[in-house]
Amino acid sequence: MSPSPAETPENETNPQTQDQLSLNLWGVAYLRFESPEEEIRKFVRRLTRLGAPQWPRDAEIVELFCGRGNGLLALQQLGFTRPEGVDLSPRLLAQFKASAECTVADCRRLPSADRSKDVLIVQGGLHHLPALPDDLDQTFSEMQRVFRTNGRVMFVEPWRTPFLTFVHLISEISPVRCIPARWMRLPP
Amino acid sequence: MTEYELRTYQQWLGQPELIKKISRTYFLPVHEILRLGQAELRWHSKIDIHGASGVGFRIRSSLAAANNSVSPTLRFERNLQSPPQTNLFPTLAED
Repeated sequence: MSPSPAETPENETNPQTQDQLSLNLWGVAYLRFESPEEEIRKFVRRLTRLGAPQWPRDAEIVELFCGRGNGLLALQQLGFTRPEGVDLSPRLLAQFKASAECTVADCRRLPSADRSKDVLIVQGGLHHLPALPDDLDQTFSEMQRVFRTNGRVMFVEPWRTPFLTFVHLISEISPVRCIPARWMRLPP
Repeated sequence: MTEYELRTYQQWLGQPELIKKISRTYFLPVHEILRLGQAELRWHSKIDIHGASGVGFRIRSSLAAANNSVSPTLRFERNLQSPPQTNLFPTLAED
């Protein structure tokens, strides 16, 4: 059997290759966690829980940090006709194949006019900001600039609940880490 | 940004009070749900929200949600008769 990329001597000395490998490992872990279809279903349930069915279907909605655009597909499934996406990664946006408008941009400098959007959504993007509190302050300032009077903002982010603390604690135990991911899957 | 995920994730989880404080600088909470390991937050513009019928602030115990049990839910509500910047502390009512 040939050695895996991680075991080759080149990777031990080439930081660029190691970064690429690390990125790939995260990508693989992300895809193993849930399929795009599962993620879309999760987003639909979440948006419904947070009141999206009451929003006008022609509302101008922007999903920040939209990644591969599964949140946009969820919005379209709920009947929204004007969802848009913004993400820093052209690689992730290239995976979005549907018809919504997507823009490569930094969410700390949104490419939208003042008071031009009705709803801004962030699903798991703010915790990627590299520098707190400055980046968060800048992102919120931009969001406030962009949304209209009576605009709505929706965030879903990781939070250190007692449950998460417990999960982190047990995940430090080596045998637990060997349990197949599908057995550990949590309800959305 | 996934290559920085662990660092930024830990940074995020480690500063909940700061995050809440910054959030409230820009937005008014309408709906907050803490469940399992995440927060679901719906916020309202702080600018010119006359005419809005009310603001709710809702917290559900993450542990109760994890156990899938019925838990008492607290709801904080008030009518917005004046600009919210003057009084951000809602009155309490039980579900």
